[in-house]
Amino acid sequence: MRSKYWLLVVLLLVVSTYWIFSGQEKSENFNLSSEGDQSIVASNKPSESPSSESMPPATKTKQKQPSPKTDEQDDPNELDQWLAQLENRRYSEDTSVEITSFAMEFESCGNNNSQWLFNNLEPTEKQQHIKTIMDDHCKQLVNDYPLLEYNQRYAGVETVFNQFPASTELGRYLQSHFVNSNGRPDNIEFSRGLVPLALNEGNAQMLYMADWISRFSLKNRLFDKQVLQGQHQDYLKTIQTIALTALSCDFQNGITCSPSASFMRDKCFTDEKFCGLDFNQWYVKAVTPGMDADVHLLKQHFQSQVP
Amino acid sequence: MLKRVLILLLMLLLMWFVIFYNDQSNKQPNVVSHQEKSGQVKNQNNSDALKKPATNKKTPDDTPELLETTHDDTKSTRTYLKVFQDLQLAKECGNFYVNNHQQQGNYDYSMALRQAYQSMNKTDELPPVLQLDALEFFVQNCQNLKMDVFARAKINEEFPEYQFAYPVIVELRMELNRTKPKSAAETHLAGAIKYGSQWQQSFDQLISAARGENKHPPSIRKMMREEILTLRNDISALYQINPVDSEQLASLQQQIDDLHLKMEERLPASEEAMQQAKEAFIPVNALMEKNLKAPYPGSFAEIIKILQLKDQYDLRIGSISSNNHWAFYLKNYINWYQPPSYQIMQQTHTSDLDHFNLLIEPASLLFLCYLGDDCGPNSAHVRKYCLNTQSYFQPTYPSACGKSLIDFYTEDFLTANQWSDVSGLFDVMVNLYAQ
Repeated sequence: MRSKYWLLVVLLLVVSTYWIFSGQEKSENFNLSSEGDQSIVASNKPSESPSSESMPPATKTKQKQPSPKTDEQDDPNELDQWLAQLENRRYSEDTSVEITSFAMEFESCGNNNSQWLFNNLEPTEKQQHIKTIMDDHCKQLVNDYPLLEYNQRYAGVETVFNQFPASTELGRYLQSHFVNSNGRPDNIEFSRGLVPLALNEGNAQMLYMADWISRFSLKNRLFDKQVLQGQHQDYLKTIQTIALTALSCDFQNGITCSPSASFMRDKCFTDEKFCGLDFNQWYVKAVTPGMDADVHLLKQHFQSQVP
Repeated sequence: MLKRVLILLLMLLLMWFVIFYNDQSNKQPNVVSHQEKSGQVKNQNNSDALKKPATNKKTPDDTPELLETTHDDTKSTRTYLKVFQDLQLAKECGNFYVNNHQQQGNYDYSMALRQAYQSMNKTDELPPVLQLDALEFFVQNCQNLKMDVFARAKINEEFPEYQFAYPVIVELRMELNRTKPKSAAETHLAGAIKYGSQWQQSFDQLISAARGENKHPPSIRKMMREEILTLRNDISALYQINPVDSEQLASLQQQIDDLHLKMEERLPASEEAMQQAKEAFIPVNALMEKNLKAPYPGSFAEIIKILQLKDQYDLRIGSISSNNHWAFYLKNYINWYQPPSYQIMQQTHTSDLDHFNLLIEPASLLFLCYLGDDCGPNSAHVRKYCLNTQSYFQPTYPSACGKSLIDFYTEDFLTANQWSDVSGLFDVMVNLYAQ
């Protein structure tokens, strides 16, 4: 009888041990997968914007390099350097607008670091191709306009307007907002006012800028409620971006709508089937009939605001 | 002698429980046909698509049903669905419970809403009365649920100590496990929950096989985890000293990073193991997909949430987000797996996932309404917009408060053109899952 007891006790111990350890194993697997997930999520974060010291040493020459200090505003050589670099105008005869537009074009280079856009996934061949085009373009941009690398966001813009007083309405608008607000204009108000002026002067980068700056606000609607009567914020943001990008395609040979421009580049990096398409080709495949109708409404509205 | 007999009885009872537990967990899914569902769409709307009467829905006799067989009989008079609904509410109340618990009942939830509202709208105004009323109603429901659950579980303390999930959720989960599903909808839901966890295990095994086995056994990894904890404590201690020794800090952090890497080390993936895992996964996945066609909103949401790899609080039935960490696994290890959203998306006018995701959320919530889910002014679906309690009130849509989901969608939330797209997507879902 006693031996049976012990047999039962031993059996019970074995079963309990198995039970406890199998539970522990399950729990460990769960914990491990959680940790794995966390490590991926953590590494998905975009890296910090590199400082000017960490940027690749571009092909610029010593003679062309201005000092990054803002107190160099009085350096007469700098004015000549800017003007020499901007000899062939792409966006505007107004030098301040031209420089701001190039700054915006340079902004979409993502500080020359597009690796983080891939969320830790290896880019596919098609994505790599677009990335190479974009990287080459950005290198060329810095090569052609070395001063861009020193156009530190706020102080730099102020410097530009101090050196090159605006000569167009768009330029004066940019100047008044950037200089008077210490480079930190109210995002939504600024973008709202920028859209009609950018359309009027046919500036693709300034349209991109209006949308880009508005994204820093949670409620970033650049139009009144009655234009599109809805509240779905993500939807309205999407329609607004598409409408402004569509409008920008008409200017500067569709620079903001090319396969390697920031809009289509982001689409390609998210889904490789869009790699190589320009904005209009993507539009046909991606925009639903209802969205298309809303985009048209919004385009009409923005165009009606042109002075 | 009496003692020995008592010990023997206790052991026998434990053994019976272990044997019974193993026996139940080995049972296989049982597929049977179900009765036609008599649920009604709770809220009618203006859309033609949504005017289809729910009673017209015909479910073929061969529609599969996951028959749940693992539950004990219980003396509880609460139905399985009621317990499930309470559990869903408890999850929704989770943030409130935790905050209120931490502040020993002094959590000022209306202040939290007010701050979120004022920051979001850049205003000093108070949130609309309807929104405050909805919050009051919600919090009252959370409190009532807690009191009921604590009373049933005989928890006498108002703020008992807890380690993991909040006691209300734990108790309700246990109650759900004890409660026997009776109606067809309950049986199906219980099956969805059970085989959902099997699907998840199977999916984890698939990824695990594709990644290769862990190089280090669990006991070693456990030791590493403990070592990491010790190092973290050392770091915390370092921060107490001023000035902080940054070199030592960096060294400790490096050790933690190295240990993490070591814990994650894998052996090369075995083709055979991958094939086996795939063969185990495919039938479970097929069973789950097949059961999407059963017309029960609770189980539909439960199944699709699992198949779309959504987290437990996310009721959106959209596609897998491209920046979701699962995208990494799917792309690198099992790129042949296509969640249900891919099938839905193929029948829409967009091939852009971001655009699809903008439309699928309202379309799928409308589909749940069509299946008979509560979409009225006090429903969880409306509360998601009115209060957004899961995301600490940001963003909220005060105009949703006091309206049915469909009224909110048609009158406020969606543009007229967006509504047209959403209705189209809703029709696709009806054709795929409710015919």
